Amino acid sequence: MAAWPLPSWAIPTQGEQRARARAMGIAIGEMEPGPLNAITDVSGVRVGQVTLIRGEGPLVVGQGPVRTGVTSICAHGGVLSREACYAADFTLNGNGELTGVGHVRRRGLLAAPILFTNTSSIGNVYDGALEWMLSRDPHLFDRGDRIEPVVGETWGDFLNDTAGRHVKPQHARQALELAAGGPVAEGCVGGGTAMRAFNFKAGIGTSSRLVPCDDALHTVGVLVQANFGRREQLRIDGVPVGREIPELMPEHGSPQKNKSLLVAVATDAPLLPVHLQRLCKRVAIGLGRTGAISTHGSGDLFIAFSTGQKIVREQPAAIRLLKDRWISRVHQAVVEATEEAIVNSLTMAHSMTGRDGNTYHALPLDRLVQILRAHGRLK
Amino acid sequence: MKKIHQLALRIGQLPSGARDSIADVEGVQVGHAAVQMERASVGLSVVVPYPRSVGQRTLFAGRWALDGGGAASGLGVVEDFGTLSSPMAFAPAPVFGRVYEALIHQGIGRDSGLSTDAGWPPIVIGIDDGAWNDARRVYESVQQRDVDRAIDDASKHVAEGNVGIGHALRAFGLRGGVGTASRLVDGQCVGIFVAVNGGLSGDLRVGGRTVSTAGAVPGGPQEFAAVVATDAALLPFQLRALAQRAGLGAGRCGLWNTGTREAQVWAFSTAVAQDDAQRPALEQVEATSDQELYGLFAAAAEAMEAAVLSALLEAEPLVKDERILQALSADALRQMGDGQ
Repeated sequence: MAAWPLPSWAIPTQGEQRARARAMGIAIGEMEPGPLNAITDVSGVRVGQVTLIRGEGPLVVGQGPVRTGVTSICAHGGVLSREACYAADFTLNGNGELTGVGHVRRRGLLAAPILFTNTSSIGNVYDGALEWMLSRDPHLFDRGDRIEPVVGETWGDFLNDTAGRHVKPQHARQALELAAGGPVAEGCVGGGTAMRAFNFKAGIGTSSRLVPCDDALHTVGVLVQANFGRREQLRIDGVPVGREIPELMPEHGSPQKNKSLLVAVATDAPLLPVHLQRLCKRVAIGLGRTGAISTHGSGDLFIAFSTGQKIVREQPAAIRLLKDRWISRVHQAVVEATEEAIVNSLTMAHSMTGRDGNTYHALPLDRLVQILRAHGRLK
Repeated sequence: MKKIHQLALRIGQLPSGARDSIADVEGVQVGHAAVQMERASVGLSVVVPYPRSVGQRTLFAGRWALDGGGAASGLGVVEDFGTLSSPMAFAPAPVFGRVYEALIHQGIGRDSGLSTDAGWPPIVIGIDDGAWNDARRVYESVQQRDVDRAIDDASKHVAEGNVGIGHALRAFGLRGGVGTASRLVDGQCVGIFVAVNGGLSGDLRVGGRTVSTAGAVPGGPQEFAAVVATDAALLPFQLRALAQRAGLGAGRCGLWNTGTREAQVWAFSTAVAQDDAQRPALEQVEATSDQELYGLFAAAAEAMEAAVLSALLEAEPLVKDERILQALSADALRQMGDGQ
């Protein structure tokens, strides 16, 4: 079997090799991904991640072991609070937190960064993000706009000293300062560091799709923080992979009950909040294709924004708008990119041991390839 | 004695509870903390829906919001599940994150699993109290321990006016504050706690009549937030409707007007406390008929109107940097009472 190139950031466990789905020939859906197959294919979008991995052995609250971090997503590199984007959110299942959505709903605008972290760190990340926003826009509070950072969380207590709350405000600031275009690290990084999906190690994943509309070429990018699903539910490209790999279950203790999926959707197609809300709903269809059902304990919270036009202070006198007859293609792009981003979060995450020696195993890529071959998905 | 009682002002038709406060609803407590700052006036308030000694409990809840409602956490759970299980903290908007962190800390102290029935998610209601405060200074001054102090302060005695979040609020061009009131209907109680912030200069009305607000200055924030508590057995959609009616009460006294930018009212019922650990798969919960609900709607609107007025009456003038923010004069209302 060919060796896939190891990403430079990865910490391999027992020689584990990780690869993105497409590098293994797994092609989700019909549409073409962008050059990076990442949310950063949407022009201007930036991602920054801070990963905190420290210590091993028994849990000592306040000391560790630490398996956590922050992932930031910025719609552009300018001052977000001065140049806003149209945005909308959708709650598939509400057992989670996404701050700032009240303002997103009122104004239909996103004027702040989006940050994903672990459950107990919302407050510190919000605090650090606000400080970063103030440093770039000292008059943020004076204009009466009441702009809030959008901070979401998933629960990663199985590996991480969650109660110790090791993410501090400065980590949020760092994640924002590091935000850049280009390739996006996936798997056990940033807010996804401690997460798992279908009881395999997972975390951050991303993907994109190109959407030709007449003579314009638009891009849809998705970034997920995946932390959900039972093993037997897992389907990849429609193949019931989870049922064929019943072993490699989490070791020690009982796996955590809380399950969540955070998703940010970016597009450069000029869309209004009403359209972006429809895009958010299509994220649920991408989630469904992986076999998950959105359980009661899940915080499945999605936010979408369009970089298609920047809104400076007031609603502009005229706006650009993609015609409705093209919307279905954008919907398809969201569904496909969501599914592929979730798969990437699995195939790029390496096995990880955390507090009390608890371990999530990585999805074994050789087995995955065998199973997909047996089902005729790969040659 | 509340000033509104000294004035013998009667708002609406319904009797109030023994305290005429949200604490008339059994189990509900309110706490405040002031934060000492040079040249500023700031604080936090918490509404605690059931005693902290109770480990796991989930209450039905609903939220009404005007234009998204402003900053709040816990929206996913209250809007999707119709429940809450956290103290509700009213905080200056800039310190939203720090207050959330403090509530998480409290929640983890009770249950490291942080499930929905053990104090998660935290509910933080952010309010713009920047009219007289420098937001940046507030951001630098309020700390986690201030939230702990407010929760420790929670009791059945609900202080009003310029306490807690009521320090730097502004309403009708006067000094705002926090207020509370309750109303009884057929043995059931509806209580309100409100942060009175907003209302245009000259708009204040009591019993439908305009109240003189001498010395009022124009402008100021146009948002408010409130919590409604009831011991009536209401389901989440009924609580959302009850919160809306409390909003109508805010409209009656002019707090909610065409210039209001954001408003949110949270409502919860203490009647159906779901204890997940002991709960059978099927359970029978009490319910309230539509007919009874209309009586409670009237109570919510009246209690809101009374709570807003009580907040303004308990407020004191604020002097800062040679500026003065006047408080509502009791005399203006006394004259109205004479005329009744």
